Amino acid sequence: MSLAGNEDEAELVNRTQNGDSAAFQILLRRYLPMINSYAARMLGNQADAADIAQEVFIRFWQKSSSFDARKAKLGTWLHQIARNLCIDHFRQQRNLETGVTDNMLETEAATDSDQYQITTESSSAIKQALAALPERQRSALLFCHYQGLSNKQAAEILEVSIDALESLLSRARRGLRGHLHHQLEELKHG
Amino acid sequence: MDKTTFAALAASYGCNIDSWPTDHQAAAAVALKANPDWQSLLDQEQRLDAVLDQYQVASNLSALEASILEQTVYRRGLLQKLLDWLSPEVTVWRPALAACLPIVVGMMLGSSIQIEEQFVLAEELALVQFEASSFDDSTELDQ
Repeated sequence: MSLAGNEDEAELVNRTQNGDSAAFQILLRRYLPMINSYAARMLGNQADAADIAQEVFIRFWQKSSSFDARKAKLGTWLHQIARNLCIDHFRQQRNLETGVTDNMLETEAATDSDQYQITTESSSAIKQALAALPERQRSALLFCHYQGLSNKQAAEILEVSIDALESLLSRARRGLRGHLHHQLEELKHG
Repeated sequence: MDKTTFAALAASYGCNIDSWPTDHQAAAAVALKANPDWQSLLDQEQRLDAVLDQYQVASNLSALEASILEQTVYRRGLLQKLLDWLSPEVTVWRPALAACLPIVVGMMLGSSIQIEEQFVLAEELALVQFEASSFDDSTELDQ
């Protein structure tokens, strides 16, 4: 984002913090697609993703005063809230379902949902491959590949160093390569 | 940039050098130009990136946006909600129902008072009977 964009965003955040609903709506339109797509890929379920995205922006509206624009970018802060809510969601699922292993948080994401809109057969395979990744690897890959966040932003959200982030990313990609072997071979042979 | 660093960056960030950390982009581009065979490292990652890019999320964002606005900036207080509910512009039966409310409350109060009166009457009868019986007892003792 350009410096002008940052200035514009700081001004919009400041106005939102003072209860300006028009400024909030501009920021909502700017960030809702990102936050929704992160939650959808994270959970593998659009209905739950919409709930998460909604909660993120309700919290932003209610607690915008707790955000310090000098310390972090709004996108980073919103993704951080979204990730925490996704983790809470996994924990709730773990408590609700029986016979679930303790490492569910590390590996679980919804894989069977008729509400999720699958655009292609490949999407379904990728969704399952992502769901098989541990949460931190999945988040790291989603932030850097799909969300377009910088490595510093991703590391900040995951509370790790850049080196640790790169390790998470390379392990995620290696894991995906294993799960998507069939799709990669098809692509290789045209 | 050496080949190990180049390969590690490709393995972490994928085939597109433009999406690598900004402080490595220029050096990576120079290194790739000097070592064309390193392109194979990027090709390997390019296939995975292409597969990942097929995963698109479809959703009704306008409905979601409206729902969020409804729960944030358009959220109204209880009094405002009550006034909205009673507004004749919405329906006619609601004000009529609200007008009937005092009658319903009056009927309820009336029925509860009646029950109370019956209870008081029964209590008074019991007291009279008790007094009468104790008068009879005292008369018997006097005799």
